[in-house]
Amino acid sequence: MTRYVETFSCTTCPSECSLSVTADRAGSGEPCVLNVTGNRCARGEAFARQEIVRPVRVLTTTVLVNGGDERLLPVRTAAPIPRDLSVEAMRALRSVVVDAPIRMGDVVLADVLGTGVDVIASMDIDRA
Amino acid sequence: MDRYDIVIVGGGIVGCAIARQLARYDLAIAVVEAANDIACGSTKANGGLVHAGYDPAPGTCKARVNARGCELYGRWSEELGFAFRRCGSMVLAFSDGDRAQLERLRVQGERNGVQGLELIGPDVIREHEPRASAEATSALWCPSTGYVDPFEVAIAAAENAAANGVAFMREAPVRAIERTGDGGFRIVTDRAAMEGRVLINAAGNECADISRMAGGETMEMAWRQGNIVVLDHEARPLMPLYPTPTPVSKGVIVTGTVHGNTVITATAHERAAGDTETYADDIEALLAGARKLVPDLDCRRVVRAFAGGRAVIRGLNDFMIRRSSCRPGLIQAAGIQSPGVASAPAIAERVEELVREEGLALAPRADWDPHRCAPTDFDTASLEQQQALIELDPAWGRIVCRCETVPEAEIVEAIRRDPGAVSVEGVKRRCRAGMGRCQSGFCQSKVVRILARELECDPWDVPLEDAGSPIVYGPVKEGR
Amino acid sequence: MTEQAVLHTSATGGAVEEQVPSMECDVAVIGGGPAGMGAALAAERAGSQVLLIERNEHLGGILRQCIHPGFGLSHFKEELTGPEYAQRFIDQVKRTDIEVLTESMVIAIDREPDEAPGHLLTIMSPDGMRRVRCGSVVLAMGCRERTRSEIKIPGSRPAGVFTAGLAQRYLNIENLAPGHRAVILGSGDIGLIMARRLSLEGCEVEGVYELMPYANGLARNVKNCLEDFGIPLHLSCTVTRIIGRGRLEAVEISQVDDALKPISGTERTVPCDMLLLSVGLIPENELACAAGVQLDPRTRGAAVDDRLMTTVPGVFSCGNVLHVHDLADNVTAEAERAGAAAAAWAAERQRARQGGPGCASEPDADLEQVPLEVRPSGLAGYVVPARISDRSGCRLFFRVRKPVERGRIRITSGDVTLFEGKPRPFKPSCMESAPVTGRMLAEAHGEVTLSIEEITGGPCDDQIR
Repeated sequence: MTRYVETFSCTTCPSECSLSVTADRAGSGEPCVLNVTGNRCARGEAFARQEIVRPVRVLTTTVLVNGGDERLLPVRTAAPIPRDLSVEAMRALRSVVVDAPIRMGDVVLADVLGTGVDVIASMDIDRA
Repeated sequence: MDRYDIVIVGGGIVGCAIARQLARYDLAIAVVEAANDIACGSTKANGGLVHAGYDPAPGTCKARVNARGCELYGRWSEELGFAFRRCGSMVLAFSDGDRAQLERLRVQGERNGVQGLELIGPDVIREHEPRASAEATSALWCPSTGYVDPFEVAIAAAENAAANGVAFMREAPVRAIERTGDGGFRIVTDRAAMEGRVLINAAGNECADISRMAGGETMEMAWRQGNIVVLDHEARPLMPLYPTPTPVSKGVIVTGTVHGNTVITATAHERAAGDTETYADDIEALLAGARKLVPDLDCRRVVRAFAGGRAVIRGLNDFMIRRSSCRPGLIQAAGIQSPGVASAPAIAERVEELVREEGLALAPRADWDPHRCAPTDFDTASLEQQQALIELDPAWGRIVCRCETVPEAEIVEAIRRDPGAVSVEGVKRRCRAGMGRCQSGFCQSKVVRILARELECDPWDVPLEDAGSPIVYGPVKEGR
Repeated sequence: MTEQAVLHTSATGGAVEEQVPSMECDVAVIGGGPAGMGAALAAERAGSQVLLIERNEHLGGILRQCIHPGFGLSHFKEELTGPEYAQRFIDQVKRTDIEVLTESMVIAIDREPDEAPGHLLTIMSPDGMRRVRCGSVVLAMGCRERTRSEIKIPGSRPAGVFTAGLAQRYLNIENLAPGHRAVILGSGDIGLIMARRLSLEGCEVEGVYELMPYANGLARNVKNCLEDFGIPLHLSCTVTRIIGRGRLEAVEISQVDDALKPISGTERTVPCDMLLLSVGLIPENELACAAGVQLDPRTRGAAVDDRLMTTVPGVFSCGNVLHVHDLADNVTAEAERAGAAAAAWAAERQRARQGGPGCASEPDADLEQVPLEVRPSGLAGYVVPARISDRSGCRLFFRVRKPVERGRIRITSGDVTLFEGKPRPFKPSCMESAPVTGRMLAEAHGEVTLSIEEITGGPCDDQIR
């Protein structure tokens, strides 16, 4: 069992609280968070815990558009997905082509990598 | 194989001016240029001053062509439709020693045929240029000095030459020059070979190589490199202000440009041939030198810094404009360093005489047109003209470069003219798209797309400048 | 809004009839990014007829290429991407009577004679030239990026040197890869975000180099864009030479001393085919200057009063054309104030005109006292507004010039201290603000100074209390 302290900035809002997390790690198992300080809200604490266990991020990128008045559609995961899946998710999105017209929120790729999270359109694109 | 009466090697301001001058005669003329565009060498890396001609030592070749070139600019500008502002200039003196130098310059200038030179005191200095340093105790006033966009001059001359039948071959570096059976020249380039009865060496910094290949004079070149800085538009363009010259250099000069910018030109250091890098020390020296002449200059407003090499023939320190004494049929327009821009029209006149001496029949062409129809500048057009242009083609109303107000149609025209732009920098030199304060941050991607469309290539085949300067690579997303 | 052929006096002095269409509106908003849309919506809500003028084909401005998240946390209370943030405003604009001109660039703002509505805009577009008469103008043209030349990086001039925003445009809009291996100079937010974007798209990012001894971007971006991808951030470094003939081949990196000058002997060459510059943003005020608007040399944006009105009456400014913001949400908040103020001005002007001749003076000129000049001091790099006309109170926006762990806001007028804040950290990456109330301003004379003072030493009294 190793006890350690990690400090990092909170990214849930512009306040940029400096978080300090104390955790225990036993072997290769999941760390156990003992204590979070520096946060000014509950979201900060939840973020800190998640960050220690398995960081999640909203992934944003683009996909090719067919017949639109823009070449690329900006897309995002509808919710954060594990950060360690970013590269694989990018690969899954590389071959996606969508047809215009597109509306913000349209699902571009459902349940990406079995995460239960959809990849959705970030804006409208009309036909060319 | 194509046969020409005259082949001009070099598409800089000198080669283009010669082509334009000779195009009035019934001759087959070609210009070969190593780069993918004209005006790509020292012509583009130049301060644009049309020096009056008091500087060269009397009796030199420079002295003969400088004052005459300056004089010719008025007519050339009218005929070719390029911007030229004859605003006068001052050489500022800050000490008694400086003042003695000015007096020497005045006498020298008069011997060179420069008109109107006058020594003036602080009050008159301020009248001419209120921003000139109050420390200046006297100045040499020179009413005939002016400035141009040097590449605009070269491009205008080239377009006029092309319209009068001169063939332009770009991306054609000369690899060998052979003697033909009748004593002419066979010029082998990367693109094609051609024959010419007379060869004119206007190859700028490459003039020694061309002379050697052609069997002409042996020259050793020195690369006298200069850094130049361009500042953003001023409320009112500055009059050219020179410091009192030293024996080696005219010193750091501050001048306006035809587009209202300020230019600080130029340092002078001998560096490795081909070095067009800018140097921190040079930039510092330019800004310091400029502040001495114009103390209120806002040096934060640097838009661009660049460098070029003056084509100096070592040991000569003069132009070499003559029929070769080694190889009949070869005319040297070599070693055209400073004041090359100012002298270019007179160099062309001089070369015309030399061509006559070569025995070529110079029969005037009946259809020669000295005038060039300048491209339309939307920004300076009247509201009525602007409206008429957009009615003609909506692309005149589609803005591309916001800093310099350049619509799409101007860019298309720059590409379609002959010889037209083939690169992003070529577009910039012709219509100023990307020349402004954002340095193409907003418009470059649009210019790349327009070039790709007009030249029927992919965006990743569009160069910034030379071949081998791609701006982007292939698509990011291919959908496969 | 009506279109008609108008009689126009040509430059030569003779009256010529010409077919340049003319429009009228209460408020003309120049720029269709977050600032312009926010201002237009606020002006419309206040009852104005609004014209929104955008240079590009679509509304949204730079947000269209800012595909990353981090927008909307304060305005919409949820985290959105740039395009989503823009789309929400575009959708709102569509639901109103705001008239939108796209592919339209304003090339001049002229003052009209007193009896006319106020301002005359000249607009170019593929549909033709156009004139717009309006009661008030909101400037919302945004900013541009500082270039290589402005920071005077020596060396050659090959392809492959981009401002970060231009590379972002190639990557996110044009579907064109700007290179394979990047060095990023400057730790501004766009540079950090591009480090992540390029990494995700399979480009190598060798490192981010920052002249200052601290990161310039938001902490969230340092964490999410660099730390997540193992990209090193090198502080107190700069590019001292650009190397490469046709295409960029390498850059020379040097460490800098305390005076930010390169230290000779620390040079090292880093191979790369792309250099991205994220070295600052500059408000795009050339149009404003041509219209006679005076700038604040610190922000390079207009010197505005507490209503965000520039030195040209009836011309307002907001968003990044006024001062460079940290967050789009703050742009929106400011733009809404500018839009409302522009609507009020136009309405007042309209009332004055309807009141007949003699009432056509500046709307509320007689209500105004001599404005208080507002100045920054200490670590405050700038303050917006530059003048306070309305003594009932407002907020002062500012940024610090360097980060401090413990600093304090002090607002003074002459010898009188109007306000003193609690000690707290300040970062240059964050736009800060402080309120001044009517009660404070009642004690002010001539000028108001906002200063940030660094507190050194042990905990101070007010923390112990």
